[in-house]
Amino acid sequence: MRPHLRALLTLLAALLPSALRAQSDSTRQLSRALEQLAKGEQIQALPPADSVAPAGRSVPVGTTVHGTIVARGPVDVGGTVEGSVVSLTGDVTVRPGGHVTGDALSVGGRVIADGRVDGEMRTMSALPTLPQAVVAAPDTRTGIERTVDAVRVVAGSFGVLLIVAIGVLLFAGQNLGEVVETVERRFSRAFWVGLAAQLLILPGVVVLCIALALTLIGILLIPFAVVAYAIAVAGLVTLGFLAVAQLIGGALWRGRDSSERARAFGGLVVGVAIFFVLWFAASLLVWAPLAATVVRAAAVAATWAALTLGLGAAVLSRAGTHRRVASGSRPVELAAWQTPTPITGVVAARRPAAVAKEAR
Amino acid sequence: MNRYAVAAVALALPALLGAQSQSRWRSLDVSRQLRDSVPQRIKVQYGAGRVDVRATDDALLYGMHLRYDELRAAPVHRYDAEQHSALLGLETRRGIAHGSRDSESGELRLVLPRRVPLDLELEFGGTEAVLELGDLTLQSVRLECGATDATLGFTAPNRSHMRELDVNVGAAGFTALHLANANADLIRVRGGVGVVDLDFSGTWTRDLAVESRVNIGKLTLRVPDDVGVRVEIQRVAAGFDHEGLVKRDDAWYSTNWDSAAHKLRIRAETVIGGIEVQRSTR
Repeated sequence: MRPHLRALLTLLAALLPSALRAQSDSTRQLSRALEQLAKGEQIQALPPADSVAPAGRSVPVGTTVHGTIVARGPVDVGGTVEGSVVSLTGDVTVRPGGHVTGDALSVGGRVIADGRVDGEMRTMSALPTLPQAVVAAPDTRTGIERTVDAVRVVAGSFGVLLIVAIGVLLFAGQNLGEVVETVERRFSRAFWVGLAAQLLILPGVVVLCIALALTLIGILLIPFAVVAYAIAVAGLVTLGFLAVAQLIGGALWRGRDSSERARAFGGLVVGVAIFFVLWFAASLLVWAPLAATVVRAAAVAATWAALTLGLGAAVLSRAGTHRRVASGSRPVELAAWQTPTPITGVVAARRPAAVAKEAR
Repeated sequence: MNRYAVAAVALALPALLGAQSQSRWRSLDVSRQLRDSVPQRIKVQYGAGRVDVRATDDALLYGMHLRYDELRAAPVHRYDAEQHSALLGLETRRGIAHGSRDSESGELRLVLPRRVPLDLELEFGGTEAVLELGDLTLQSVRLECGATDATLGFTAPNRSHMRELDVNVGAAGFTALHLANANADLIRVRGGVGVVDLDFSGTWTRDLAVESRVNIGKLTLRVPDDVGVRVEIQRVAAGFDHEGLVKRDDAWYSTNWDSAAHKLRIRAETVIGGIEVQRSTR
């Protein structure tokens, strides 16, 4: 055999598998397109994949085609098509005198109808994906992509909670402090109250709606009341969770040289981060479903416990406004002009006025 | 403290911005050739996005252009030749939540024939709708809007007599222009919360009755000064601006009520808000 003929044969042998693969890919794509046309676009009487015109198709004047035409190029109709006409990559043109008894459909092109089309004329940028395929779409992501997406969601949530925490610290720092104190002092009671509050959330909104409905004029306020109730519950839950986070974070991060506010903020960030560590771990393990489920269950349990405890403390301290409950007794605040009542055996304190005189 | 706060926000922002939903945008043009002028019933349903409806000179029964996110919604275009009815628009896929940020970029443009008598039903969710229904042949129109900023206009007179124009808006701003051109016997407007502005300019060919109920919000009625107006008001905690109207028995009348060639009877109800009747020159 001559050398150049041998080289040519070798080249052909090398190219044959990829050519066959390309052909099989093309056939698969065409079969999918036909399925999309049948199920998604309700095109009747489609031809088999091997009867699809590989390029354009023309129906000359005076001729009649029975059945649906599908082509991978432009379709020109001068005669009659008793069925639909589909171009998968070009225009569908129905000339004056031309007649299509079904639909005329063009993917990525146009439908130009100077003749008669009994059905619908459709132009689309791409064939619509079938519903099952749309639902299955997220599963096509790789393990890394799914992990990145999961981490992104957790990071986003962490960021949102951090922003809320800053807002609470800036605008409701005192309330947060009271709730923290309530968690510290009345730990078990706060937990049980939190549990009860969770069970009463839904009945509470029902009772509220019924009460408003009974007043008749209040019926109009029901939507607003429901929204306000949801906001109040969300507020209490958030405040409580942040209080628990601050308590835990404060125990771990003392920040001795920092100001009181910086210490509070540092404690809050550390506390929130501790809760999110488990969620981050679960999101990093998305590629291993069993491990991810175990870690996620642990994260859910820890977060639920914190939410319950925090909600209970927020309810007990009335969102940090009820200081007597928080401290166990009403705080004693003496005004400058008051002196402690003398008790037997204890010398009374001097009045501030007298001190001032002595200073002079 | 502020340093920590700024640092935390700076750290959180990229994560927040990164957490965006996926979308797969598609466009679709659907139309059907006009064969005759048999009355048709056309229903349009659309969730979120921009909507534009108007008349066309093309020989089409309908022509719809859609831009939609395939992962969230699927186009609907069904025509029943026996019932002479069409259902057009977009339906949300099962299990997909409404109202993504991207849904704002969706679009529906619909053209309708001028000469075919139509019963039109329009159901929109959270949309920005411009409905120019002038110069069509409308027998009835029912418009339902959710959280919508909608403008309904009749810049040219309706070609046929309309039995009823029924508008139901949720929490929205609704403006209707040139309502006299609707050529309707009865206009019914119900609003939940929002601002409703009804302009009765246009060509008056018949007397018109308006029933309007806005629960919470402001209702403004703009009426040409040569049209006689009778207003019946039911209100709970709402103001009523009745300048130029005189009270007789249980209603308010314009001074030209007895002599006016065309009359507008308004029954307005509101709970909280205000009702205003403005007189305008043509």
